[in-house]
Amino acid sequence: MVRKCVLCDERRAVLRRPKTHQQVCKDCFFAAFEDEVHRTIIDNRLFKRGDRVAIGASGGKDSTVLAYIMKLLNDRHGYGLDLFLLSIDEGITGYRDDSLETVKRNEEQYGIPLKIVSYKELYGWTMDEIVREIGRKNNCTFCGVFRRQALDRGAAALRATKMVTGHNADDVAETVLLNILRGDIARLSRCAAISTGDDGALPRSKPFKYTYEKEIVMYAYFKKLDYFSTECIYSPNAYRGFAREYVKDLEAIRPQAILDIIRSAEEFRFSLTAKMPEQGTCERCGYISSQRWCKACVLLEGLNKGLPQLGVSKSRGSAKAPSASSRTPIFLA
Amino acid sequence: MAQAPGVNGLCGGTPASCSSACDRHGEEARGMSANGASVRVTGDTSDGGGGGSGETAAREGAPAAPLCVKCRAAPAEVIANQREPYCGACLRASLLYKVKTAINKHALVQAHDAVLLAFSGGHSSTVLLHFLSELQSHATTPLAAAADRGKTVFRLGLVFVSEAAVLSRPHYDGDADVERIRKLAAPFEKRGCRVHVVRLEELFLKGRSQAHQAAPEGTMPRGSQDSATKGVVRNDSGDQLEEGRPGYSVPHTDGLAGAWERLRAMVARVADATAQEDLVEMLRTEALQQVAVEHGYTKIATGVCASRLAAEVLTGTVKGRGFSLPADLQAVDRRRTVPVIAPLRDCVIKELATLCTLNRWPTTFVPSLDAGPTARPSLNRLTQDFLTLIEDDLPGRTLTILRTAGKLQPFPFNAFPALPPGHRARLQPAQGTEAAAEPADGVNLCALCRAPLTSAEVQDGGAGERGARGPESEPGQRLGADAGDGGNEGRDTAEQARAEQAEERRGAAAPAGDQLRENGAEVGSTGGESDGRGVEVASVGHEASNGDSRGSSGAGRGVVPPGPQSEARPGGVACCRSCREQVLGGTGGTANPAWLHDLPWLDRAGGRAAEEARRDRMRNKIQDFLL
Repeated sequence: MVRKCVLCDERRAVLRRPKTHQQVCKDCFFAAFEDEVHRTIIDNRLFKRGDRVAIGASGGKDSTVLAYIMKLLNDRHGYGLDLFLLSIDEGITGYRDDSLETVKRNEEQYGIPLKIVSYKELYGWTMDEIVREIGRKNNCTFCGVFRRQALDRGAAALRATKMVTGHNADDVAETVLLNILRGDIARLSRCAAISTGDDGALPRSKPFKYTYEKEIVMYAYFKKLDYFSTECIYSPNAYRGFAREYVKDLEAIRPQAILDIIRSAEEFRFSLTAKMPEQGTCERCGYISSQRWCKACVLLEGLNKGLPQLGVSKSRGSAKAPSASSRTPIFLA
Repeated sequence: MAQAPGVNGLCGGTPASCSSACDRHGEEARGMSANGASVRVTGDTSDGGGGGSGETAAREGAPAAPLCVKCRAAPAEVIANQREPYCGACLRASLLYKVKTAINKHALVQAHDAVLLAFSGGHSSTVLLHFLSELQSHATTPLAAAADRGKTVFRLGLVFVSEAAVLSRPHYDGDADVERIRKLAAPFEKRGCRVHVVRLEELFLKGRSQAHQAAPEGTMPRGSQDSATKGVVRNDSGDQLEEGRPGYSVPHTDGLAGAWERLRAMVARVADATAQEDLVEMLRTEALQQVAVEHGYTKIATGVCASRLAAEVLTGTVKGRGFSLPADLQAVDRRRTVPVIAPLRDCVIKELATLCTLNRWPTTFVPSLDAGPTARPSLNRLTQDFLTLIEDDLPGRTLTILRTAGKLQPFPFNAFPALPPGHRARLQPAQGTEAAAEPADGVNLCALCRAPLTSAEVQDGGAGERGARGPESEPGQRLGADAGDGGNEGRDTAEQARAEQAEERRGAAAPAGDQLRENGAEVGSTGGESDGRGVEVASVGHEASNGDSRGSSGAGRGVVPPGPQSEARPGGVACCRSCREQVLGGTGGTANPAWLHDLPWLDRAGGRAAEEARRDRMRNKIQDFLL
């Protein structure tokens, strides 16, 4: 007997939704998926009419689906947004050059203008050069710190008023767990927020915060979206790998667990005595920073002076670096 | 095979045999085996805990052993605090110091307390039993008590809760477990420690009218029936501290058989393995309370240690209990009638297990739902494995997790009321302060797990209560309906109504106009289309938006003051969202929405008589057991 979709009870069910384990047909899956993202955007009031929204696009599955669905929802519900694709060229041969091709195709497919910002032009270094300098260890620190700032710079160039990234529910849940594991209260208290920097010039938000990674993959697969799926050639984040596997195991037993982790993080109440870093600006480049110099400037200084370990290795106790905090920040790929 | 680590085998922390069996809470054996490499327990490892000759031989065989960093006299035997070589005596001293510090810092044990230790035979509760009996003074006069330096005059008892009934092993009664526990406890019994054994199903005997308990003959497997008669033999006789039996007679076999049936039926109704374990944990907690109340104990001590707490942090997070989590992590928990204390909370399981091994303190393994050969994969179990993995990767992670969780704000019931200045808790009993303190300090608690409720959860409960039901309505029904047992249609409308309400609230709060909003009609249609799941997610979303201000103000979700109804709560119970979704949600639809009634502490009619009896007996003010 052919299984019918539990939602429309007409068409044949072709998949089981990872989030709910409902057997649904393709059309109902699309509708539910799109509707959930739409609800997230509406309920959290992520955008205002007339916003210029930069979509952080790497060419991977998350950002490709994000670009597609932002365009779709903007047209369908009349959000009145100006959308832009914003890509960062880290300068990783064999990885980023290929994925940028995907983004360029997306630009044409979806009709969203694309802006590419490269590390080389911003910092004078490509990731390939950085890795040659410092080796494979810790290079993700550079990449992550530089990318965040590069995205902001690119968005400024686009005169964007909002930025969206493709972080999905699994990513957020992993980050919550990682921050618990490393005792980072400041990040733990804000990593589950759907949007950050709301009072700044460029609020960033995650419309996929409640969207499961598996559903994104399914959506891209059934919609036949053009995306690039290769891991970065430089060291994959082993530590995040632990958390990732744990989250996937949890999901296998109880799909709701991912959302529960996010809910927990939203409801954590930290005692007022817990020390939180204060946000200021970097004395050198004016970027937001909790220290005297922002992390990117510290790292860059190290690179340019030929002391690449500056700001990377643990410097607590013997703080030689100008105000380098000893922790490695977490940034999602 | 479960009998392998029997009383004589005593699994002295041997990694080889432990990894399969001796993990009552899952963490103990794995903690040992995982860190076996770094624990240089010479001796027992080779011969399965058999003889002592191996130990000295191994010690002599390693002449280059470093000296203990603490005393610098004895050769180091173990690695403590991740990297410091300690000798056995110093390890013991350091752990005892941690326990003493915890007790003094939080006034856990005061003069003339009666402390009931929840004893499982595992490493942590064994260590705690030894330590508590060491800290106990038997002095009878104030002068002698003052001379007993560092000790406190208190009464000590231990209780073993047998959960054999909930195990899915045919013909397994807990008799062998009970026997082993009794043997372990025997030396302490001689020194005046009372030993109680209670079966989990006995929860369902108490506070029930006897009429309830007649069960058809032969409903119980033969083995269990035998054990039922044996199991209820208690160690009450000849104890001068006995304060009169509570208002029920020693349960006869029929009653216990009925209770056994009901317990099993209740647990079986929860399909999800994790939720099942959680439910049994709730039942166990209440069983401890009942024993404590019946026998006049003023504190319940548990062997919850740092490793267990770290696991609790993660499982709590994974179950969506972020709000209530800190309530479960503190040294003191006064949410229930008898305060629960955790003196071992600063000790890690590896060190506790090592201490047992070095001192040859016998331990045993009792199979439970979440540990042992029949355990199913669950979130709790996964978390345990994950912790082992990352602790291997970088030792000390347990303590980092606890440091993180330590920044979470505890609740008012997580401390004893401040003692008057100059009061010496070790010598003087607390006066007046305890009676003045409400057990839950005005925090609304979940009816099932006693987790503090968020304001949203309280509102949900309150909204249900305002329905057209009389004061004597069934609590289970309301909860059942809330949990979506009433069918999809009812749930959808309820959820939608709530979503719309939230929408309205937001609308009123937000500056009208430029924000992207959607009209109500569309909300309805999309919600219907996605069969509740979309709405479900939407409601998650709206919760997030409600919490928007949290980042800046920090007080957005403070402790909820009790509403006007929460004091009486006629017939209604509020329930936390995690329980509603995970425990109640998985009970198989409309099959029995009122199954909640089987929870003994929610049973009003039957519970009242026992309740009154309890009130009279307790020295302290008793919390209304029914919220």
